[in-house]
Amino acid sequence: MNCKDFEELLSAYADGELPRTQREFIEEHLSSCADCRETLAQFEAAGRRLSLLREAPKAPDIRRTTLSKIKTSNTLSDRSYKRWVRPVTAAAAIVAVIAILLVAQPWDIEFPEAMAASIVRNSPEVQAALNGEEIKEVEVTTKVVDDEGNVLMMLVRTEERAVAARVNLDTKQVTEIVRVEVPDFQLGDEQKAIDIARADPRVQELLAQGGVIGEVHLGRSIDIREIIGPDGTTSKEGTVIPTALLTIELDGKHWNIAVDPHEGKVLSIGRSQPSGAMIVVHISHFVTRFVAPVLLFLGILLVSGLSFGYRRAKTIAGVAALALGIIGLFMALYSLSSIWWRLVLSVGIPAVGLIIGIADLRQRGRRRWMPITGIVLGSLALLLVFLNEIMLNINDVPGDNIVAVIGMAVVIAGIIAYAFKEQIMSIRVSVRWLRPAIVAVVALVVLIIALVQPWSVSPQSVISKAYAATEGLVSYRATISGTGSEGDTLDSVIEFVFPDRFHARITSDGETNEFIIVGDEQYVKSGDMSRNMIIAFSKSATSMLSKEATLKLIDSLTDLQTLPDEKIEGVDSFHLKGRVDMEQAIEREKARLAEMQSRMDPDDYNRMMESVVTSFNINTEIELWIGKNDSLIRQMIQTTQFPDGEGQLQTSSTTLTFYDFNEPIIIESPLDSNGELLKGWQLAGSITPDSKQRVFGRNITSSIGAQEGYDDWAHQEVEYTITITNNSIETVKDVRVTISTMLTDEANKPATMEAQPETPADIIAPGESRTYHARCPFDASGYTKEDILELQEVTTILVHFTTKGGEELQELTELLFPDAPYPSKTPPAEPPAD
Amino acid sequence: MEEARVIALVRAGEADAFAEIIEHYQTSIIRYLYRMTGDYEMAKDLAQDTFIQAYKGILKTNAELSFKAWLYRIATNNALQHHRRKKLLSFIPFTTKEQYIPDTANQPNCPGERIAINEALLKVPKEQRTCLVLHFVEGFKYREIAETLGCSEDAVRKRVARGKKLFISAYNREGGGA
Repeated sequence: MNCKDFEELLSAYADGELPRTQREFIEEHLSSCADCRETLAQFEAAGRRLSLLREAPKAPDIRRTTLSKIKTSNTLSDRSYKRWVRPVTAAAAIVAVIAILLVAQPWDIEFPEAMAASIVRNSPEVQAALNGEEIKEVEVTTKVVDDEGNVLMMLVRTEERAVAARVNLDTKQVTEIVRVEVPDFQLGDEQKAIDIARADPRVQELLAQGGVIGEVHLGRSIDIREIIGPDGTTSKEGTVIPTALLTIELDGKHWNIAVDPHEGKVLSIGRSQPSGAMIVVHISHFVTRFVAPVLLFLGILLVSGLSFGYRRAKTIAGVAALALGIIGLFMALYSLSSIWWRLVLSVGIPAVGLIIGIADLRQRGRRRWMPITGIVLGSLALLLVFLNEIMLNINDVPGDNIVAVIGMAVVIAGIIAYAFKEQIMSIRVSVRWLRPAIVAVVALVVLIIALVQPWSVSPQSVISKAYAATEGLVSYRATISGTGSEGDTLDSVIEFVFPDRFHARITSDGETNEFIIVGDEQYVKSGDMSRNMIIAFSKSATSMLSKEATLKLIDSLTDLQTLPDEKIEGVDSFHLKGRVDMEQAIEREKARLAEMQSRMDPDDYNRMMESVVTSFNINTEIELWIGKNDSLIRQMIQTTQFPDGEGQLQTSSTTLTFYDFNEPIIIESPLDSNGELLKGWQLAGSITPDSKQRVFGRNITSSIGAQEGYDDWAHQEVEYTITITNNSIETVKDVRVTISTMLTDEANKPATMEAQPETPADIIAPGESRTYHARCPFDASGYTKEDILELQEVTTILVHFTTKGGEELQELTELLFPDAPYPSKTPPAEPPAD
Repeated sequence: MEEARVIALVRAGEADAFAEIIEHYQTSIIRYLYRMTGDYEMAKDLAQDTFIQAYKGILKTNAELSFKAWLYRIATNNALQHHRRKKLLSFIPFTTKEQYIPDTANQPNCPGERIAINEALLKVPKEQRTCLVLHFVEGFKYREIAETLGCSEDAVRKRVARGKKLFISAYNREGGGA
């Protein structure tokens, strides 16, 4: 090997950069090669000389000049800030601006009252109804904001007359016009209303629990109802009711008491829907009208400023954070009515504000108060949304809330983490575990989200919301239509006002019966119905549709499943299907029957009790359509399958459609101003001479046998045990029971017997029963078995009584199914001759 | 200085944090550039450019290199670019002569021998000079040089050996050894 080739190794050796083996090799060579030793010395000298260059003149400090160059080299000095904030804020601003424009439509905003008033004023139909007279006054009486649109009930008056007009603000059309008389308020009506309310036991209970009567507002409510004339035509009749609205605050909840100060009665009592809803709607109109354009301007400024490196971009970001914080706060308030997009906006907007605010704050902008205020407001807004979410869903499935809260917490944590990502990533100690930890947390969150699927609504949460919404109902209307197993049909309209007022018009197989229930009073306008039928009908109609019954039904649903969403009369609804838990239903039905036992014929009662048990075989499926926004049950289809006598499965189905939720519905007893019943109406259970309703329920047993002490055919007797029950609501007196029978000693010669009461008394109160006994002796020696049966069947039992009003009446009870025509309690010596 | 923390701060937009980096490296970077160019004022300017480029680079990339190696690579590029510019200048009339003539006025406080060493070093072609300066002045190991220049350690060893030979002959020619 030529020593020339060693140069590179020698150089490295001199620099101390040779691995050990090569070093030893070189050292061995050096010991024997003088040339190489010379070269090495040269290299070492060169190294020494070059190392002298380490000493350099003391460097000047170039920090300040360099930094200032760095800062002036960019308009936005800060590239990293610009790098992610710009697209994020630009996108967020664009989204926010578009969303707000879509939602608010500031180019098309008018205050609802003003809009409705101009619709009414310009409506030719209203003009026609007012005979073209000049409109003096337009007043809003009822406001309903729901999915069908903003519906306002307007009272339009001229000097001479007035009409009630229902205006749909979404379609901008007058949907209903009815002429009305307008009662005017009088001095002292407010105080009168308070006095009337205080006299009501329900109000007294609220006050006793610590409720405080708040303000009293005088207003008018309009009730439009359909009137069916005697000829079957329908017409609409509107009533303007002077209404004083009192608020009672109890435990943070508001109860609304509507009082008619002129009639002196409480119209309705109910928990109010979020009372701030209407105020919020007003704020929303204000905001959309005035704030939205400003926001639009800001958004454009923000986008253009940040995108084009505008020098004041940071100031704009601060302003934007502030503006979005304010808007977010407002949206959070607005989200009280919890429509999903409001919720999304009320989370999204303050979140954007927070991002911008935090990012901007960290730039140490001059106007620090703006991002700080923006952050505070944004945080407040988010907090409000969480609290709101929790408070509004207090009756909800607990897991539902937790998921919502966790979800939002993750969103906020993400925002904060993103804003401080550099700091987080620069924590040295944590780097080792931070990444796997982040991955683990993200994986966990994704897993939880995948499992819970917060975007798909669980049927349980829909049901529990529906339960809560139903609980808050004060009034509603519903139509019921059904088809029975034998093709029989049922068509009904019912109205319900919390807690105990019902009005039902039930049409079944061409026969219409109308019921009004006010508290304990039941009024019937009936075709040809027996008392038992009326009770059963009205009970089933009302119990099926009372709030409590609906709640129980909701509660007893099992095997819930979600079907594709549908619209019910234009309302976006969840569609669920479930089965009624039969054991619960049976217990409930039994309890219901037991309640009614005193008013029922014992026979009917026993039969119905039995049928309840056989209903174990009944499979009842319930389909529910629940409004997405208000969680109210919009429609319910109940399909029941049950085996008939031959074991064939029969199906009957009933469709209930609910509407007019919490509308002012007036249900009154059908009495005229003198307190007399209106024509065709009767108080269920009262006794009138021409009433087709039975006063008495009866249970008769009879047996035939030999007379006491005899053993021959000439001395037979029929023994009767007669139990009668007063089904009416009146106490009857002078009660006697007589038996008229052809089965006497002499053939075809009728005889009348008086039955003796077990306890000597001739007064029977409502619901009370009394038992009578009678023995009718006869001579059987001339009769065949068939003769006895025939004669026994034509026996009639009469109940004589005097009504409260002093009228003497009698009710016929035929012995339709003699229990024991033959043979008797003691066997005869020989059978009668055939 | 916690380099990673400072870099994180700079990435997060704290431009002022970069001052720490400048403070830490400015002496050696200026010295390196000075030895590479032989022009102290030029070295200062190039150092400033180097730091500005490093600052922007921090924001733009997540370099896999160690910060030091990366910073020296930028400085090296700047030095080489400086040479290219100087070469360009040589094509412009009346500037040719200044090309390799170090301005002694720009070399304050330099004893005679060091001037001679510096002169000789500047005669070494820049590829080899880079390696010599990095190793003997900046104290880089061959491995670190390889990392900074993006070449193999073998190449570094060759360049250093070759550089030394050229330096020795240049130094002897300049009469430094005399």
